[in-house]
Amino acid sequence: MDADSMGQHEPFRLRLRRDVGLLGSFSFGYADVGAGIYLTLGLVAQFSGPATPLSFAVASLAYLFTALSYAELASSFPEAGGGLIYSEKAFGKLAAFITAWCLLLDYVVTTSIFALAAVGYMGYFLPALHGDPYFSLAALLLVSGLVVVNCLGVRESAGFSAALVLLDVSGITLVILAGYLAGFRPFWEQINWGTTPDLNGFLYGSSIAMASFLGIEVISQTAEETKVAGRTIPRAVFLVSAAVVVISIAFSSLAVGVVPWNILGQSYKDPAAIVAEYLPYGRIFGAWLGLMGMTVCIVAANAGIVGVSRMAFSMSREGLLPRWLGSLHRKYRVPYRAIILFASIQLLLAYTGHMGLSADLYNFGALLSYMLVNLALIALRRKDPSRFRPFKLPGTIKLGHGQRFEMPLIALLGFVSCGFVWTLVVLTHETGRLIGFLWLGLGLLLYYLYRRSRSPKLE
Amino acid sequence: MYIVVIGAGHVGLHLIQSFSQRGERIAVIDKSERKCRHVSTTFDAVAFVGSGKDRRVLRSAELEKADMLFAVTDNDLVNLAACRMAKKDFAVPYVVALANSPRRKEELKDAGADAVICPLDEAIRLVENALRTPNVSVLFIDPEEDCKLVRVTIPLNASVAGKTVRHLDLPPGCKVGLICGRNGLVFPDKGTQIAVHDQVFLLGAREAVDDGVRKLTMSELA
Repeated sequence: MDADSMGQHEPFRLRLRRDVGLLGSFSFGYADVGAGIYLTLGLVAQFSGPATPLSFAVASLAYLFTALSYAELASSFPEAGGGLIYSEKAFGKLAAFITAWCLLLDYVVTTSIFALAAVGYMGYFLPALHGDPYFSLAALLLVSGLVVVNCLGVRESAGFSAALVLLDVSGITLVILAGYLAGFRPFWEQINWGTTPDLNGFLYGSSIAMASFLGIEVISQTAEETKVAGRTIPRAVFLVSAAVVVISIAFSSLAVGVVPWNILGQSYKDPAAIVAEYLPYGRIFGAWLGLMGMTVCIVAANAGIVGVSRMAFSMSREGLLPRWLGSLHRKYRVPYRAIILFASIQLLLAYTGHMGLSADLYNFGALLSYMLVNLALIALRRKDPSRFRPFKLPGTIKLGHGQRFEMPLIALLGFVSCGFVWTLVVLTHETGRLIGFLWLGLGLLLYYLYRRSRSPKLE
Repeated sequence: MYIVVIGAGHVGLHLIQSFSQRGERIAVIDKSERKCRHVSTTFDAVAFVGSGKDRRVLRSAELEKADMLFAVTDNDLVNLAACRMAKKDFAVPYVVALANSPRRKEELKDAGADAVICPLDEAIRLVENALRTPNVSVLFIDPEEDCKLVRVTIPLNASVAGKTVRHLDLPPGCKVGLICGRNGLVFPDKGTQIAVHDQVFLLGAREAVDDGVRKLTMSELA
């Protein structure tokens, strides 16, 4: 035995640094999820009308089930890869690939859609940015800048995200309090079930609201870089869940309470700022929320890049993508090749981006992977019982006569709720369905070809 | 590196803390859920509840991917079984085992342990040191090779004080490896002079070193 043979079992000799604490983990989780309401508020109002807060409440419930599943899995498997790792351990390589490929779609779309949303809020201050070609060009420049920040290492990204997220949480909380104190009109008084909204509209709006919450995966992606993941990750998940659910329901209630819902529905590029304008000192609050919307959407776009790079790193480490893609930079210890490759797709999407389609793809990819993740938790309770879970989902249903298995109820509800919304998206969003399945088909083809090319070496 | 530690007791916890601070990837196996909770919420480590003798638990911990295994429970039979499986079934490159009883040392080596640590042996050595003259500390003994490393502090009235290494008249099989004195650390040659209070590190065959110790500590007045 000699020093040279140490570490021979690990093909990637450089490892990601553990430098993300509770604030960083919370920021990564909140960044994507918390920005969702800035993006989707107007879109949801178009379909759910005055029942918009109920759409967010319904989406919150489905989100919470899956968030708690992630809390258990990410704290028990503190490795980069998130859903990929859980699916692989539960079901094998093919399931892992499908999960990861769907999440990749989600991350790619996340960066582009939130870059566009950020520019939308910048346009509150510079109206010229709302028009072509400046809208797309500004998004392109924004994505480029974030790529550079990410190539410098996680530390810079985590600090950057944390500062902006703290600013946003405090800012929007202040606006909500000011709004409720200034005069709140209960939204439920405006609801007329069957007309405003009708059932189809409400369901459609709820599926869009779901896109507000699809980002909890980022916490699990950065688990390998999180200090004492067993303690930090459950806390981060609880904090993110509490903050996001409370803020989204409170803000959407305020929104339809002060702004006619049809006007809200039309203001899809900067809905939060429009809401603020209806409050006392509206110009000040409007500017403030415009600034908050811009910053949070920038952070969410950044989180998408982080997610893509880490997912690519994990996929290449697991032999699902070529290894050269996942190799770490010697100095900055980030998967720079993956960052740059997927940034090119993100730049293209940002430049040509259609926000409605992006939301559909966002839902398609993430909900499918979340279904697999919830199933993976159930399977791993049975397959890997000796692994200690620092956080374990409460509540089980006992199944079977001989070998009694305790089915974790929350994971089951997570699977069912995500499955329901995914089916809704697939049935009602035609373009999203088409491109989503095309992406899936392309991925499976690439997977088949790559695995086949490696198969002699795997013997 | 990926390191697996079986046993989160006194020894294991210190190892886990040290490896965690160095940024290594660590998996810990212990039959106590309470200890597993402590490990997973205090250090950068994953924990598995179960016995180190249980092949399924070792498989869950992906022992086949480990670079090192530390079997440091308070049960020698568990350490033995873990060593055997680690080498035979999981091909772990480097295995370190704790022998709670000196009787188990040979068995652990036969089971494949690359290094065996016996706390009792170490305690006996330290106690023996304390019983000797304060000038002499036995630092290391290898019973298989019958060699020894000893540190001798030259006493005030030593007959060798002022002499060079050439004139120490040490027996064959014993050498002065290092001298630590007023000039700091010196790798001596034959002309290096020995002074009072110098710490002289003697190494070599056991009997020759014992002879050498006697010569270095002999008083002028004797």
